[in-house]
Amino acid sequence: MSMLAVRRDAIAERIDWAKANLFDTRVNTAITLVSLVAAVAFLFLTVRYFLFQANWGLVALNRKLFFVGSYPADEAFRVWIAMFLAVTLIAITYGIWGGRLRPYLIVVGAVAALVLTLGLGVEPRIEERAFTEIIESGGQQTTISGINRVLVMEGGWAPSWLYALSLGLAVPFGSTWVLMAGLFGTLAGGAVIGKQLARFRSNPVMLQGMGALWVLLIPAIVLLQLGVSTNSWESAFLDIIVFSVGVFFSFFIGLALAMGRVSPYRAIRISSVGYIEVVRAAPLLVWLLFATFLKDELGPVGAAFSSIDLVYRVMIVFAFFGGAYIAEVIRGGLQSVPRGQREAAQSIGLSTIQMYTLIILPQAIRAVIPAIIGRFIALWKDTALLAAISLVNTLEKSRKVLGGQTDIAEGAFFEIYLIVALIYWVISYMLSRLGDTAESRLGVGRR
Amino acid sequence: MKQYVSELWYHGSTRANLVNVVVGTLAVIIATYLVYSIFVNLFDFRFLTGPYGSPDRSAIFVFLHVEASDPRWLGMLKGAGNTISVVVFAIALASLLGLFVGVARLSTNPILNRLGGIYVETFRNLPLLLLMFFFAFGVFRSLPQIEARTGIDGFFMVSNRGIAVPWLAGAHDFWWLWMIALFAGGAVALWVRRRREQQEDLTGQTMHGNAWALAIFLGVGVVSYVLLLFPLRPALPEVVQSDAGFFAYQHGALLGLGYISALVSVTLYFGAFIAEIVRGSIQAVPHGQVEAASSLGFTTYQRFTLVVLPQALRIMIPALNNEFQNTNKDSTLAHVIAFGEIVLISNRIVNNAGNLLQVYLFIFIVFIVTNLIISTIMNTINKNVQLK
Amino acid sequence: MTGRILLLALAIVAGLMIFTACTTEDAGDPREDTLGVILDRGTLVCGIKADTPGFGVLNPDGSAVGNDVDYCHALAAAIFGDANAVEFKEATSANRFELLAAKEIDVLIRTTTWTASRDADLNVAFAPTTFYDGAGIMVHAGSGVTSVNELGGSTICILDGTSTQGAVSDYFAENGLTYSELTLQDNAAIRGSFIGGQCDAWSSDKSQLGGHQFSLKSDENLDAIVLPETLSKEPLGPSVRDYDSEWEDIVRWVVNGMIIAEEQGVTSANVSQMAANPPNNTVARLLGVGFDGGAPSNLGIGHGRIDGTFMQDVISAVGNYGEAYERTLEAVGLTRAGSLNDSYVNGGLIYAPPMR
Repeated sequence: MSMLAVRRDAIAERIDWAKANLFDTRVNTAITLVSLVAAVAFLFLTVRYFLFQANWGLVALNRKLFFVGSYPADEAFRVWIAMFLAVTLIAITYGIWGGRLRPYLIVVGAVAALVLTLGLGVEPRIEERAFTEIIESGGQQTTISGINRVLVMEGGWAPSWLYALSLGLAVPFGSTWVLMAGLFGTLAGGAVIGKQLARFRSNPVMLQGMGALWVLLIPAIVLLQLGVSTNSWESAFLDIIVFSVGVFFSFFIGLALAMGRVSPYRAIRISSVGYIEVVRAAPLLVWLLFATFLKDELGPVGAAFSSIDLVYRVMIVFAFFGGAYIAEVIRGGLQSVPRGQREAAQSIGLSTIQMYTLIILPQAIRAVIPAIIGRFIALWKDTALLAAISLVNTLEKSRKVLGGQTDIAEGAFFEIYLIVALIYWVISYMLSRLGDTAESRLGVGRR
Repeated sequence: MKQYVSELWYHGSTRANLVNVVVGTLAVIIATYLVYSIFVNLFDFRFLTGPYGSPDRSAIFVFLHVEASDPRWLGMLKGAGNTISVVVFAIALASLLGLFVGVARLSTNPILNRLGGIYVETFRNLPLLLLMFFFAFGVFRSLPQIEARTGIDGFFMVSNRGIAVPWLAGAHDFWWLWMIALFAGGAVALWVRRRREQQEDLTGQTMHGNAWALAIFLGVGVVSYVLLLFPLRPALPEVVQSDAGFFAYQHGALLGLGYISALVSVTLYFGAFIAEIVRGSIQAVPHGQVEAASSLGFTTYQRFTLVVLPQALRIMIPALNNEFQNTNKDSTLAHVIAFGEIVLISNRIVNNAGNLLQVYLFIFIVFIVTNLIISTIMNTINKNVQLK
Repeated sequence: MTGRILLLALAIVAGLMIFTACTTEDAGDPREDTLGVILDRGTLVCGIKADTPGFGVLNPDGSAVGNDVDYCHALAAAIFGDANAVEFKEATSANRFELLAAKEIDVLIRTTTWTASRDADLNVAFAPTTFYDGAGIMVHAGSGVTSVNELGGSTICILDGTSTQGAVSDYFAENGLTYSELTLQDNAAIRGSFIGGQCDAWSSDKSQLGGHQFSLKSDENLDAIVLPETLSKEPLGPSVRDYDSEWEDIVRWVVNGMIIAEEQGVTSANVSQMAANPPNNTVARLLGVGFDGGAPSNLGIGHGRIDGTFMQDVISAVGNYGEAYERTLEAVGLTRAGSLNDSYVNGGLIYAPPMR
């Protein structure tokens, strides 16, 4: 067969496929045409907006505000160390249990090249220009003078959108490109090292060791930040830290509550159910507002609670609120463990504690890992609510930028909100991919 | 001694009693503490009769507008009404959207399939609060100004002040009596229907329960409508201009900035979750059912509406119940975009008068009651669709 | 069964007894020691706003500038001798008193109006007024409106939780006018709504409207006018929690000291020279130095826990009242000369009790 014939066959195959899937019935043809128009219009508008209409310099200019807000620059090393710890662990974990190495390295390399080269390219800055104007006020002429700030893009060789592309991973603390390069190096190197360790992936020591590292990561990151007042915890940094602590404690609280719900002791059962139902009855926002406004209305206990720093109070609310939901998820897992497992454990003479830690809980939690990750995603998105109690998280920071830089940011709602959306979306989406992977790897979730 | 203690400990009922007593006492102490401190503070309800202080007209219906002179308790009730006015429509719209997208995601048409996927992955991974800000301060700002409104003048008007649509207006102050009459008529109709169905079961005679119920309901409705001097009449929206040239919507229902942003974002957000529930439930219907339906010569449409959907419904209702309650709870976020729902009104009262516990207890009760209503309705539907 | 019920009853009785015992205890001394807390912490936490030109705005580098912000710096300078020993916490109009009462902030300097209900009901104490203001209404210049009385049937944007809401509501009710209110949570949202025509008018304190009018003109080339009517009296100043008069005194006398410094011609430029060689007794007492070789007089502010020369630090850091005003408020077009905020010498209301 000639090459041409092969190609013709391939084309014919495509056409057949299109006929079978896109144009098989009159209804389907209509659907195809309508959704095609919608898709093309969507794509056209998006691309046009992103490349030609948006003012991305504004986003790039405020990148520090979006990532760490007013975190003191002298203390930046705390954030960097935390980032390195997290990145190392993520990379090694990916290497051991993740997918193939090559596409991962290519993506990391490409992003690193983009960020590192573009960072040396355009730098937007604000230029202050004197502004003098005569205004009429009440028939009397008054000279007012002030400063008019203009956003200026300098460097010039890269368009603003290309620069903004590198923003997602751009440096929170100015041009510390060496550290950024190190971060990308860790991402690549960690995965390579992890791949070497992959043959031990089923080794219990390995499992327990990595598990312990992951569990220790969050306290380590938080302890690192204790030298900086919580007033300076802002933006994405605040969201991430509240989320991490919330997730960490809510898992253990949820575990305890779930055990309480299936406890043989009625008093524990009733208390657990009562707690879970009361917490779930009201929205998180109401609990957060309550925790913010509470003074001494609940007597000395309330007063003691209200004397805790607001950020820590919020973490407590997240932990206890998330715990109530995770308890319900884990309870589902406990119920899915066949009765025979318990009987078998009892018959070989395991104590109750051994039975739970060795037999029942591992199976129960395994069965609901995707659902637990689902709750984590919800908790991550809920960190946006900090904006409603005047903690300056990513969302609130974006509003401050819009409000405070009216001279350069006016009308840039789309750019600013899109970048905030991207920050929330990326982590949320990565978590949901993690959930999907866990679901398929563990072969659970389809019950 | 030691042996005695250990025997006592391992003696099942002793241990159970001990744990029950200790934990029970602790729980009772905590509960007593909460109740006691709530009651110490709750004793004073005088703040409820004070004036609310400033007007809030973000509600869609005029009777839910909070006036400055309204007592605070009325303000809170209207706030609860505003919450419900968002939740009811949001649940309806999100269900429709979710059903459509869920089915689209199972379509064999790859383009439709992908579009559905993009929608779901985008919206369920974004915080609802962000969507609200985005729609309120990004999207709806860019609608035309009220002078240059689009839509059909005098019927359906769109501007950045909101969307004005026809609605009903009370012809006199006692229009709500008709609502009571309708509820009473409905209750009587349901009672009659049940009685007749019971008789039908007993005697085997056809008793036309549904027809009777409908006739009674309509009869009560029409008669009371006339007797109450036509209490509700259709009201078309219009734009009026003041002497100084300011435009404002009047009559009809105004879906203002806060309401419409809340409705759209809640709908889009929960639509994504409902779409996933619908998709999962449809996938869970055994494939044999579809094949059997095809072999019986059903068309695609019949196959879906008569075979697949009823079975999928059984699977999805518990999950939907959960999601609808979340919709109800998450609608509170609308207070950040100046929609006068329960939390906004309550916070303003707390800000002016204090009384945190009383106000928040009210919010709590509102959510318990509304969630109970949702789950009662869903459980009733569930009972009706389950295999009998 | 009976045993269980008995046990439950016993537990409830025990619980009730414990709590009655706890709560019948004396509530204790309500006095606080905010200064001690601040000194222990090493920084002052100041509640400010970050969206009002002239009073407080946020820069891309995370710092804040404005007249309110300057008073925070002044307080930090008075306490620590370091104007930068201050952390800023953004307080919204709706949550500011909650933040103050919950001790999230030590002092609230956020264009807050001194009203009786706030003073009495919310347990807030007000330091001297730093800015005399009144609620006003701003409209687009193109609307042709010249008086608030023409605003019947309009939609007015107002910030949630402000005293402006009540002022507008009262004024329109008294004059038999109707209006719709669009209540938003921050000035950025209101600004967008005003530009986009979602509301016809913007009501706030006149000073802030002046700032916004200026920035609308400079950024958007949009002409707006502030209508002549003043709907209310809005004296703005720092506020602290009740039951801590020592801390309240410090806040009060830092503000008063800045006003006296202006009266006496002490500026950030000449303060060290004045301190070395005070021209009169008033300046000597203000700066905590002796006059003509005499011993410095002890005014007792801070009871020895802050330096007697605290006003030197304040003035060298932020200057006197007039300097702070000029740097922040004149820059956004709020003319001082001839306004209520001129010194009493020139017929304004800015007047401080003597520092002696």
